[in-house]
Amino acid sequence: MTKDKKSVCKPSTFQELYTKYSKDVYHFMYYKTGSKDNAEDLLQEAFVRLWKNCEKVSYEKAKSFLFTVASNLFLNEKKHEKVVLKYRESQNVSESRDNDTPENLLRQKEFQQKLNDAIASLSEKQREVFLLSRIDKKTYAEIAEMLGISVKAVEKRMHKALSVLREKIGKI
Amino acid sequence: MKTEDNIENKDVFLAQWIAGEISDLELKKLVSEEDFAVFSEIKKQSEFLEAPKFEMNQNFEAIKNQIDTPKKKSKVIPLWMYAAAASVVIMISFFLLKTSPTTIQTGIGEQRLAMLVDSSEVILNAKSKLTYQPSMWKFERKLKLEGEAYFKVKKGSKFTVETENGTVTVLGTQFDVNSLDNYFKVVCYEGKVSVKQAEKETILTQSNAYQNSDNKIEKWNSNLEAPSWVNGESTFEKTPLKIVIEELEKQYDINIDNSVNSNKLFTGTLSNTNLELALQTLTTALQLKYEVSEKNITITK
Repeated sequence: MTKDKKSVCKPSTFQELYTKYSKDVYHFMYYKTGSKDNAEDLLQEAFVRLWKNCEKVSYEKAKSFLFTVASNLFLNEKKHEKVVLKYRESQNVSESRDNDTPENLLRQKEFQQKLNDAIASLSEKQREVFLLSRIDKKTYAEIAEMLGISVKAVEKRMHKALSVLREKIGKI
Repeated sequence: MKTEDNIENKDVFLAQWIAGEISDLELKKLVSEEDFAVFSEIKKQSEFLEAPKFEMNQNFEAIKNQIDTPKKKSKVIPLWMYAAAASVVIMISFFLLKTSPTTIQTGIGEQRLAMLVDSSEVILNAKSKLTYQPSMWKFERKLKLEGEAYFKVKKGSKFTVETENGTVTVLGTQFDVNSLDNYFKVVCYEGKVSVKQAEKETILTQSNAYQNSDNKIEKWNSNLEAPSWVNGESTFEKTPLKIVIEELEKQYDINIDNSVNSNKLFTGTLSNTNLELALQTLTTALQLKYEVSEKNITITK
């Protein structure tokens, strides 16, 4: 009876899948669109479609269904906005104290600004890989599964993203 | 980048380095000192990056609102209402002709969550059917039920559930209706519910349960907060064996042959996900035996 238990049509299973994957799908869509509103719309639409297709999608396939549908929906979107990211404030407390001079803090802020601009200038494919890896701490294998590409392809995009960032940041 | 032409992983080594697969020392051999400093700073600072906060519950509510809510129809109604306020009667007949009822149905072992137009919620248990007119909802909150469903009704006008066995009316509450052949059960979990069977009305308040099995009416107090089938179990209270069997056949794709002509009533909880456990619980409680052969189960003394 395990098949019945894992039916996506069951509200408790649907909710379980939502709890498990909604944040990942949302971040993924935000990295692509750069807009919170668009990311929320795409996330909601992806889950509504999962529900509507719950009889056809098995529990095991639900994850890749969500990411594929969200990606396809994104392709239909026309408006893209600049991705804006924030840095956690707590970093200065945990960092070593001897680095904590006002000068260093200022330098750090400047670098963060440069890095933000550089991230915004990445291609969408480079950016999603870079941010899924750095913010969501996804492994390359996990990202490959989300995007439906090989691990090697993910590594190439990440490598390219890092060289582009380095180029854009210039001298420090 | 100095020696990148000579190495195998020349198009991925940065990815490997930031993931910790190759060391700083190895990277230093591959890039200039200045590059290494910038890469290190990227690695360090990107650790502190954050994505915008995700409103998990809010988005789930929005998804639930989109599920099973016929959006377009309910959006059209208010516009027409302004435009044709004077001819409400014509409008109603227009709706009757124009729109078909919405039906939500479940198969064996399946459950469905449905949002009604006014965001009242219904969870439909296995092998049940619900029919209503979305376009008429604004005028009359009424639906037809075969089988079992759990309702969470938004406060508002009268809310009516019609079944073969009788009618249940409420104002805004949570309740469960189970309507089978010659079996009718209503449990009120919150608020006040009116049950009407053959012109006889019974009022249930919080935690009151009402059951009519082959014209034998019983009332008692239930101590559950919500029907347990919502959580993958079926809880029975003073339920006749034949109804328990009918319930099992709806949750699992099986046939149960009952050779015991028993008036025994069952009180207890059966799993909807583990058939063997469910059969064991039931037969042990009623001091019966069971045999399984593929999808056929025989219950004996």
